[in-house]
Amino acid sequence: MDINNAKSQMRKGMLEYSILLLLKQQAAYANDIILRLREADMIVMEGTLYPLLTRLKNDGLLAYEWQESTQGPPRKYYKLTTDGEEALTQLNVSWEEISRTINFLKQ
Amino acid sequence: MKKNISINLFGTLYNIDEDAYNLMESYLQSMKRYFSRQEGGEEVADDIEHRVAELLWQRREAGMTAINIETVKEIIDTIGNAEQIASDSGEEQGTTAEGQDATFKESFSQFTKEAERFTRDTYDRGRNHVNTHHFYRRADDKILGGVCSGAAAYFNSGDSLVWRLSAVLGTLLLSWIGIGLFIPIVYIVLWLLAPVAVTPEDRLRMQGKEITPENLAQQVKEESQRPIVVQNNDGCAGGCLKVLLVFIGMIVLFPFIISAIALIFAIVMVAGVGTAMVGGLFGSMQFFPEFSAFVGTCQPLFLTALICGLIVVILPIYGIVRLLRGGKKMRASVLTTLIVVWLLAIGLGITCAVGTGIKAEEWDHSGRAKIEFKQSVKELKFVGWELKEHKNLEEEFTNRRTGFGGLPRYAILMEPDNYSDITYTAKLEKEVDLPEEGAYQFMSLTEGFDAGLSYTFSYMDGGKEKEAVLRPSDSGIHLNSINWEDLTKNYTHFFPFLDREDESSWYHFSVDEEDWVYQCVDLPHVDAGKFKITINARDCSERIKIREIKVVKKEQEKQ
Repeated sequence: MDINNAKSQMRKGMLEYSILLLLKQQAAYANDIILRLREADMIVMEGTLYPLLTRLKNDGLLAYEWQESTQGPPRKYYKLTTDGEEALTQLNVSWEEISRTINFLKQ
Repeated sequence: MKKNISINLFGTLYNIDEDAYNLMESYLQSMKRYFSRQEGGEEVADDIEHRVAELLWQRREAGMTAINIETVKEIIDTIGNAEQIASDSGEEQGTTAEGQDATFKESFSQFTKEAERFTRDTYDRGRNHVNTHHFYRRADDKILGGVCSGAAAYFNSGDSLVWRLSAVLGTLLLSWIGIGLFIPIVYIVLWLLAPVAVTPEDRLRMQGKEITPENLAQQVKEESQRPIVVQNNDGCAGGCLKVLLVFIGMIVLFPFIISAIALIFAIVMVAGVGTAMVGGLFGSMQFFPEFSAFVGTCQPLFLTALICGLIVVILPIYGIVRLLRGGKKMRASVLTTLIVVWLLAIGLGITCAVGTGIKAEEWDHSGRAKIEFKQSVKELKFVGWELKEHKNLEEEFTNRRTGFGGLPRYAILMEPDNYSDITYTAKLEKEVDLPEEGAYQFMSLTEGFDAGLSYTFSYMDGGKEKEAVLRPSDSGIHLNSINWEDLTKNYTHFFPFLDREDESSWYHFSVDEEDWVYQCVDLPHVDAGKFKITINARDCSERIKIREIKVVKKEQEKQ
């Protein structure tokens, strides 16, 4: 088993969940999301993020609006839709389950 | 100093180096093309462009006045080192149908590489994104149409140079067997059909590499380090003209190259023969007697032509290799010197080659037939012959012992080359001293007949000039039709030629493969004195062996 691959798969699996969690607190644009994820020690390649955001938006979990910025180009602010909140609830449950499983296995 | 240009990105002006701009532009373009194959891909590409703009803006805020290529590479690394873009998009395929929860768990379950490969494959098939491996012509590395460099990239093997040289040599070799146009035609067809690799994606596809954002970013960055200089693309007409010129040039050069190969071969042969001689292996000389004799007659000319030929061939090859390598240009003085040397070598080489040719021609004609005289100590008494007149014949003395038991069976051998149809002419004379007058016999023992051959004995009989003539083509006694017993009983007149006591001396003349003929004419009276025997071989084409021709006093016992 390629340990690095396993690690990156694990992170990748958590990425959508993390983004939904992050956007539940407040609307954010890509740079904010990247910075927050970095703060949380979640290493993300930026290129990964854009397709993911677009996909989540297309799936109706996210919505965005453009905001002009004095600090550079206009920004796309993403926020959770009601569908998104629903999905997040489900993911929270799943996470609890997974966490329980892992903790159980660790003992 | 670098050229700097201004760009407008979402309403903001940036100053950017030209090379940095080109890199960024080609990166954004390839991202756009890549994502355009996906649903909502334009949006992603747009997001990426926004992100690039934002990163540029941040850097400008940090005090960077002009954006250089290092900055752009950094940005590409930040965004585009995105092997994950592809695999994330891959998950999309499997997940949208099954809902978010499933997505999450499934994502976790994809721990293994196999799973990843599976999703990737699904992705590729689902997106109708087949990893095509195309044949492209390379615009950045071309002499004619970039077909050879394209082939090198396509087969991912070897340098373009190798392919080019192979094409040239292949054409030459194939023209030897009459299909020299094969490679040029294939070349022109590929030229017309294969597209030029214009975009970085093309260049990935050309090498059969997967088109992923990561590979693209890698390719774009590499290309920025090794700038792609697209040589101006001549139109098809101009291009075809070039091809024609090149191949006509090759056909013209062909004789030169072939003669060079022949000369190299000749060197090897000379070296081989030389070694054989030094080693005392005279046997091997037998294989190339003509050649070594020929080289012997015109060595300086031949060697000069050889060296000039090598210079004439090697210099352009060196030049072509340099050109194809795309190395630095040669200094003008060196180039001029080499060209002068080359022209001199052509002049001198042709002169010497023609000289060699003339010599060879002469040698060729003189060497078609030879006459040998036996000179072994034992047979010296036979050699009193003098070659008075000859045509197409070369004299050769030999003490080679031939025949079984080492006994030479001839005193004179006249032999044309096996493969020639020329005729030779020879006139030989020998003086005979007859101390007393009396009855004599003029006799000959010969193998091989030719209508042009006759033996004449000119003598005096009672003060009158007389001639006795023998023609081996006329009747005579064929020695292989009689045996020793017959001989000793009935043909005692042979014994001037044979050892009466030694039967083995007879065998040499009675073997089946050879047809020795004895002829004899009686001369009832010959004055004493010195007379002449003449061998006349006029326009002969057969091999003739003469054992002996002599005048013998008629034995008294017979009477």
